Amino acid sequence: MNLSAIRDKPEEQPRPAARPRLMLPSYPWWGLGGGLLALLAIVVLAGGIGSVYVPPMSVLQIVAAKLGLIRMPDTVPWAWQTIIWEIRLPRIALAAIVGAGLALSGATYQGLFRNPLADPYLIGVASGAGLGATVVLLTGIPAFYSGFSLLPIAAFLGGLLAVSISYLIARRSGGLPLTTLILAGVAIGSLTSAVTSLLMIRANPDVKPLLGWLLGGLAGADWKDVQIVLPYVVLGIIGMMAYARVLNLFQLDEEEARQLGVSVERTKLILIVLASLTTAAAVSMSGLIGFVGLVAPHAVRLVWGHDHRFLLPMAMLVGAAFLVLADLVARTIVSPSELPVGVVTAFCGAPFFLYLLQRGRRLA
Amino acid sequence: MTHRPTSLVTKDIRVLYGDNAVLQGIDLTVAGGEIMGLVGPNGAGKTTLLRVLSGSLKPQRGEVWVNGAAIGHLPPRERAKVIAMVSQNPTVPQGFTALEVVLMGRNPHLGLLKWEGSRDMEVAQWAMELTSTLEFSMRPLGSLSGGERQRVFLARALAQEAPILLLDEPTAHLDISFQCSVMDTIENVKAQTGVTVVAAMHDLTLAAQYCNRIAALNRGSIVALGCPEDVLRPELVSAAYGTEVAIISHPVHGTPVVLPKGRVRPSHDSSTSPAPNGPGSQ
Repeated sequence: MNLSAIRDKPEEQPRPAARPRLMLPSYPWWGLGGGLLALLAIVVLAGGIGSVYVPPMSVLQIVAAKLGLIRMPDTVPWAWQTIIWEIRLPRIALAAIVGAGLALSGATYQGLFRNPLADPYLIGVASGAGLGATVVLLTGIPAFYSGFSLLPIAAFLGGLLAVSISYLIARRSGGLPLTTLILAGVAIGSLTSAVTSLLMIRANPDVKPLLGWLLGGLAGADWKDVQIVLPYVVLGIIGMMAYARVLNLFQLDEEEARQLGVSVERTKLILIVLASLTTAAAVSMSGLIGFVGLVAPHAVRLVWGHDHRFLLPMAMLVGAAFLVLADLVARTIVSPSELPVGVVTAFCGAPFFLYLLQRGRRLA
Repeated sequence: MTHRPTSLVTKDIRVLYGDNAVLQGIDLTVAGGEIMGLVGPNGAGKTTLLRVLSGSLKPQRGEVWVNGAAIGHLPPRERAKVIAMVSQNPTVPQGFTALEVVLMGRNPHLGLLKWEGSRDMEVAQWAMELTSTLEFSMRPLGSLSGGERQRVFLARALAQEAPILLLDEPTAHLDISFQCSVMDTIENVKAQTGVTVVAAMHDLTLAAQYCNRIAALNRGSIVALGCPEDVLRPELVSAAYGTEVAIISHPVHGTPVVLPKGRVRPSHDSSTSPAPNGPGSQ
């Protein structure tokens, strides 16, 4: 042992205090994965429930067989296959897609307008889309054109027209005051709803089916409906997810967002078009279903936080699950008759929304 | 990280609100790496001038140049890489942690589909170290005190890595210890990076202590420009603010200290009150 070496060691420098190292919070993939699994479980269970009960295992077998993954087991009756694959699953798939689209649009509108009350219904998009779809349904313009449906296009034009009018009324030089936008949206929404009602009463003495459609219904959905609505919603998902990080910056003042490098007006325009397109596609297939776009993002925000990169996809899963369950209630509770699913979402959604508001206030 | 010296020049800026000229004939040259203080009474146009400098407000006449290049037509993303601004009352977004808010400053460097990566975390770490905000990086911004938030917003601006930093009353609503710590931080940042700073200051004494030069604004025009000792003269300050002031020398730093005269409560009138320290005060 060499003592002198120790003694000769230069005096130890005071070590700098340990610096906390910043860690990027890891993205909660487990949350999304769990949500997706829960949604799939709900879909399978909802597929089994109805006037004829089908066990979940058989539902899974039918789906797997139809997708060509397995051979159809002999234990599954022919009738079950038809009920599950031809009747219930298209309807459930449509409910999930519409629910996801409405929740995603709602979350985007809320983020964009920094207003928790913004939702496809509040700013007039949905009623505008409803008017567009009604015009097509009532005027005898062929709703289908060589397999291609005019309905979503008309709804999109109606929705975009409504939101554009709100936008133009609210727009001032150098900005877009949000209160004015929402107030204009409410007014435009009432007006388009009134025009829709007027059209229906004048044009057709038998308005009951249309009224049901307007209240929101998924009855009679088939795979073709799913095919029609899916591309628009997928486009909306891709577009809005691309802007998820930028949406966080919209939680600041618009001038601050611009100083941080956001092209505010252009981003707003793109997102409004995407969210309106998604809403319109959903409305054209399912009618006016309220509260999904309002409740799903709120629930996610209260439980998981405000980062739109997680909020948008999670709200989609919650919205899809919510609408699948609501439709399950709508088609089973007064069986053999049905409720419009919009009535069910309002019945569950409104109290849930009030409960969330209470809870949020207590936490704040 | 150091910036190359970046100058900021305005020529004949005019801003009208209706028929009122809020800014008129503003010629200002801020040299690379200096701290320029903007002082003047409320409504003199300090905030408006900062908004013009940041590109948020288009002047009716005139243009802003950064190192000789006009910035008026730059897209926001490019401008945000050159100019960072901390406004007077920045929005406190709900549900975001201090770190997430600082990372928002990385936006101009991130593409549409890009999320923050390790380089962005390094910059955030650097910015939060400089502003002493690391210890509460994971806390929601809304739960922090005013002084802590102010430093987080400063860190967000630093995270932009812009060579020009605009500050609108960085010490407003802060008590004296936070005022000094915020100004010390700005001074540190300048020493470390060579950033060019333009700060609107309502506290003339602090401005004199920390700014290389001061521009005094009154009714939308620059009425004096120079080093603090030249600008903060009693007659000039009294005229601009419309109140009598006395100016003494800072006992420690020798910089001008501006004291509004006003009136003293009657019991403290020098003829009736006893001298506070008794003997020796005669």
